[in-house]
This record gives sequence, C-alpha cells and structure tokens, in this order.
Amino acid sequence: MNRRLWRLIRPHSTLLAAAVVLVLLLSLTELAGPYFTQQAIDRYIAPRRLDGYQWLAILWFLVLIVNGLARYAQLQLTNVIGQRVMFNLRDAIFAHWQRMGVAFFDRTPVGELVSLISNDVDAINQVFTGGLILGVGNVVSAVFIIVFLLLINWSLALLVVGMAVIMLVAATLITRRLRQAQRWTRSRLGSINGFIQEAVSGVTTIQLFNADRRIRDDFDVVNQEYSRANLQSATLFSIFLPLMNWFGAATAGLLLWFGGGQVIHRVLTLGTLVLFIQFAERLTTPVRDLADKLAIFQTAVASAERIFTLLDRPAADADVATTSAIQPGVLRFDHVWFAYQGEDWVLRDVCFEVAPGDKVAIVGATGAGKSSLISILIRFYDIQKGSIHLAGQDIRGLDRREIRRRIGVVFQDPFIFTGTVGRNISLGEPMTPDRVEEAAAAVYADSFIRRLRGGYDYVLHERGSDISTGQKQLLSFARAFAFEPDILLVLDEATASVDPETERIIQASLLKLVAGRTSIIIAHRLSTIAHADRIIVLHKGQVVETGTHSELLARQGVYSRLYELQYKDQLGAS
Amino acid sequence: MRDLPLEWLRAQIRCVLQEPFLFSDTLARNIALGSPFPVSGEGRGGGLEWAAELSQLSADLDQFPHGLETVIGERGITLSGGQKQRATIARAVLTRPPVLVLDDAFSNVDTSTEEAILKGLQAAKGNQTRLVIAHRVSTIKDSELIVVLETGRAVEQGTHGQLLARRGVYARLYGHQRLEDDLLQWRNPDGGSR
Repeated sequence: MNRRLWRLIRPHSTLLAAAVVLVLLLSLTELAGPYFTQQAIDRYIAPRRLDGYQWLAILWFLVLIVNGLARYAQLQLTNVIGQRVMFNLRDAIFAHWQRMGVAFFDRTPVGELVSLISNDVDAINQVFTGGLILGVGNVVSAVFIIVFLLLINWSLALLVVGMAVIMLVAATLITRRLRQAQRWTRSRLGSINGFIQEAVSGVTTIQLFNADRRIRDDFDVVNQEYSRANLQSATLFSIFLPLMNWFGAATAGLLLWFGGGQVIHRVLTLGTLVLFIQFAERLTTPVRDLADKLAIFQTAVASAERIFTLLDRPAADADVATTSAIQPGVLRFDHVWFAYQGEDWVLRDVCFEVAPGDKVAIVGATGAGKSSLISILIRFYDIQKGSIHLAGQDIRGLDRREIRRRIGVVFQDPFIFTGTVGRNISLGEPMTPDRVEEAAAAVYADSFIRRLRGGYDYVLHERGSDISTGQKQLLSFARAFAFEPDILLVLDEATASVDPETERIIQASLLKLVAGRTSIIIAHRLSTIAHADRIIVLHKGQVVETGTHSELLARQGVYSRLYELQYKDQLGAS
Repeated sequence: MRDLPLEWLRAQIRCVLQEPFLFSDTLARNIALGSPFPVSGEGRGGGLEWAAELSQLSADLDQFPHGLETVIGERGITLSGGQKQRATIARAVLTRPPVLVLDDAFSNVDTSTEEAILKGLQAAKGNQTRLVIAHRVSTIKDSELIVVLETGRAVEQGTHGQLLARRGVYARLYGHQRLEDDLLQWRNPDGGSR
C-alpha cells in the first residue's frame, strides 16, 4: 500500500526534496525571532547600549524577508506537486474506465465513480498540500527548538519538553474523539439529506395517505440527532482550544516561576527567559497540529486503497494478446447461450450464419433477445456457451477495438455529443470534411444539416436536444456510413414521433446505408423487413423460424402473428 | 368534493399509484403509512398480515430476513418492481377504505398473481367502490362499468360484453391484446430451435 503511494510520488521526488529543503529553511528562520529578541534584551536593552542595535534590526528584517520568500515557495511547490499527482491519478482512473467492459458500468453507480475521481483523489492531494510536508516541517521545527533549548539551559528545556509531551498526549486523545464526532456529524448530515430527498420525491404518497404528521415526527428524530452530533463536536472543540491555551499559559507561568528565580540569582539572563517563553509558545502549534496531520494521512490511505482497488480491476480487453486484422467473411453463431446473470438465459442455443453481402432481418416480440444479440456480437458482453465466429475466427480472440471498427452499429436513439455536427459524424477520427459531407449526403442527411446555422459547424447541444429524433437518426446513419464498416448492425426502431415526410427520408436513407453491405437489422419497419434477403425470427431467446417474408407468412407461426400485431398496420402508413 | 375537508377525504380514498413509492423503512411501517393503528406491539392486530395476504405479498415475506420488519430501500434490501407494487397495494387496502383507486397497479405483476389479487379484492369488497385504471384488458374486463378514454374524452362506456358488441375502440384493443397473448404463449410445435 505505502509502496504504491510512494510510486505515485516518485516522479516528483526532486520537487518533493526541494519542498523539504524549503521547510527546513523555514523552520530555521522561525527560530530567529526569539533568538533576536534575546539578543536585543541581553546585549542592548538591559545594558542600555544603542551602538550596533540597528544592525540587529536590519539582520532580523532580512531574515523575515527570507522567511516570507521560503514560505511562498514552499506553498507554491507543495501545491504544484499535489496538483500533478492529482492530474496523473485522474488521468489514470479515467483511462482505466474507458477500457472497462459495459458490465462494470451496469453494476457501479455513477455517484460512486464521480466520488472516486473527485473526493478520493482530493483526499490524496491533502497529504501533499496539508499533511505530509507541513507535518515534516512541524516535526523538524519541534526538534530544532528542543535541541536549541537544551543547549542553552537544560533544566528549563526539560520543563518545556515535559509540558509539550503532556500536551501531545492530550491533543491526540481529544483529536481522536473529535474526528469520531465529526464522522458521526457527517453521517447524520447524510441521513438528513437522504430523508429530505425521500420526503420530497414521495410527497404525493405522503399527502394521499395523510402521513404528513408522521413524516414530520420522523424528521424531528433525524433533525435532533444531527443537532446533537453537531453539539458533541462543538463541546469537544470548546474543550480542546482552551485546554491548549491553558497548557501554553501554564508553561509560560512555570517558566516565569522557575526562570524568574534563576534570573534574580543571575544564573539566567532576562533575554534567555524571554527566549524560552517565546519558544514554548512556538512549540504549541506543531504539537497541536501533529495529531491532525496523522488523521489526514489515514483518510488519504483509505482513499488510495479505493483508487488502487479500481485500478487493479482487469480491463475488458486485458485478455486479448493479438490485434490481428479481421478478414471479411462468414459470420456464424454456433449454439450460442447468453445470460446477463446466472442461468437467466436471454439467448438459448442460437444458431445462424450470415454470408458476406447478405441482408438479414431479425424480428421478435419485446424481450425476445434481439438487442442482446447485438451486445454480444460487439462484445459488450461475452457469451457463456457456444461460439461466435467471424471469418473462421472466434470473436473472443479478437481485439474489441478491431471488432468495433469492422462492425458498425446504428442505434435509432443515438448518443449525440456536445460539439459540431461534423464532429458528431466523424467522432474525432481523422476524416476530411469532404468525407463527412459525402457520408451525410449519401444517407440524405445533408439537406437538414445545411439548414442549421453554420451547417456542419453548427454546435449541437448535449444529447442533441436541439434537433429532432428523426434528424438524430439521420446523423447516426451518416456516422455509420462514414466509418465504412464491413458488417453493419442496425437497430431499426420505428419511432412514433417522426412525421411521415421524415419517416420516408429515414426509410430511404436506411436502405441506402445497408445496400451492398453485410447487414443484420433488428427490424421494426415493414419496409426494412421486406428488403431483407432472409428473416430470422427470435422467440423467447430462441431462433424459431427463418425464411423470406412470404415463406414465413405461409408457416402460420410466430412471424405471421408478429406480422398481424406489428407490421400490418404499417402497410397503410408507409 | 371541494367542500369536504381534505384530510377526511383522503382517509376515504386510498390510491395505488402508477409509480410505487416506498420509504427506506421497515415493510410494516411502509404498509401502515396513513393507518391510525400502531404498527407494532400490543393492539397492532392482524391487519398488516391480512393486507399482505390480500396483496399476495405474504409468500415473499419468507425471503426477507425479518419478514414484515425487514428494512427496505437504500439502507436495507431491494424489492423487485412487482414486490414494490404489491406492497403499495397492501398499503392501500389496509384501512379498508370506502373508495379504492388502482392506477395501473399491476404493470409489474404477472397475470396469475394479478388474478389472485383481484379475486381477493372482490371477496373483501363489501360496499367498497373501486376505480381501476389499466392497460391490460384482463385487469378490468369483469368490472361493472368500463369507460374507454381517448385523448381526454370518454368515447365508450359499458360492460365488457356491451363494448365488444360495439366493435369500437375497446374491441380493437381487446383483439390486439388477444394477439399479443397468443404470441407470448406460442410454442414451437417441433419443440427445437431453428
């Protein structure tokens, strides 16, 4: 664990070393203040001398400048390191996600992913900006001060160290409880938020069932718990701060008591006593913060664990060693069985072949397994039994990228990205604008694109909210055409919200797209089914019939029923 | 109805909404939402069990670690769509309201369970007025009165038999569903694939 954390830091070890040097320098300059005060009192103020006093002032001023610069540089440096580590981590996480299979995203809630890349990465950043380097600084300052004090007057130094140890123990104990209280407060805040969210989304149910009073009572409970948790944190805080102040004052008092005697007996100079009091004060901060730094570090380790667990998940394409090119050839489903979960078979013993250039329509009622057929062919999911071969090669041995390059998929509700129309067709692949326009023109998308302000440079909104469903479909056809796939998979869902004119264009466009190309069409339009070379009928995950339209109608089986139910009405419409 | 006190009115009419909504709480407290009787302890009575029985939820209770006291939702176990729907049915029938509204309440329940629930409701009916909104003809075909709505207007009214005889919207809908059921029931005569 720690070694992996170190591996994150290692590329920045030079910067890190520089930051540590700066912290050392900073700690040294911090020592200067009390030292110069001592010198001022003992050399100039007590003996009532003024010659040379200005040099002390100038020297102190110079040290203050160095201190300021060092602090600036150190802050800047730690932030740069923190940001670089975060940048690389986010990059690594995001890149890893892109390589995960679809099944991973089915199981993982989006909120968890977002929290990982934002909150957990940030917790690690805290180590650099707040924890690690300043922690080192704290320890170094404390050691410097203690050594310095021991050299000057060991008995008073031991007094200061003794008090510091007691303070450290007290601070650690209270900080631990404070952390617990804060965690408790956060979890109570979470449940209050959850409660409110639920009460708002369920408001119709609450009102219909006259349950508003009961809900209010329930809310009182979580509300009270939250406020109690907050009070608990506040109580601990109000103990912590005065206690630390009290320790500081007590140390100063003890120093005055014992040191004062030594001054009167002329064993100790007045300046040294002031120096001790000032140093004792400066020791308070690092001691108090040390406990806090430790807690930050613990949080970061927990976050790092979560991040590394994700990065250790094998990527979907990890199993494929070869990236052999795919030859065009026969596509063969050989006794394919597939389930998303356990033994819940969505496809059962499916067998069929598609020869190059063939146009096959797949039909079936809702839930027959049509879309799953597409998902397994482009390896969003892998099948459990049987095999799928493309030109004699098992597709599980082929690179997913290669598969998806050769097999184009056209969704009828395609995803539109925020960006220009041109980019939504090319999807960022190197492609000349001419090629993009050619593709759009080929599938009759050109005329609507030209009507947009800016044409191909028109910037589409997120999810294409500013163009119609029919236009989105035409865009997806253009996308598929531009990529020139060997095999085309089309999910042809007839949409109700398309006007007859657009529907006519879409049908013509679709026929143009599949012309002369091996295509498997999950068909809902009679026009696409009628143009297919062969129709495969899926029923409850099984291939029950294959043949042409008229052959299948004559069989009086599933297809003829489907035809009655879904396609017959389209005769008049199209 | 606008002159009636809202709280009283809502106690008379219980609804099962299209989207079942349950709180992250125990199943018992979810079902007893809006019931004036205590959820647990003395005086609870057998109302909850009766409602769970009627809504065909009882059989599922064995799967839950603490039966009716199982916490569901984010903090507990997740219910299936059908279980959620049946829990909201139990909630609506618990107080035996004079008026019961079922708004597409069986969309995630299979036909045989739906039939069992409808039978139970019929048996416990008494003077209860029931308003059933449904897409499936099987849910409503035994109703005393069927109202067919189209774009916000009542285009046909009558019993199942009367409406079929009219050969209008309802009859077309019924024919279509017969076809759909027929398709789903279809078995390959040879029994094999291909």
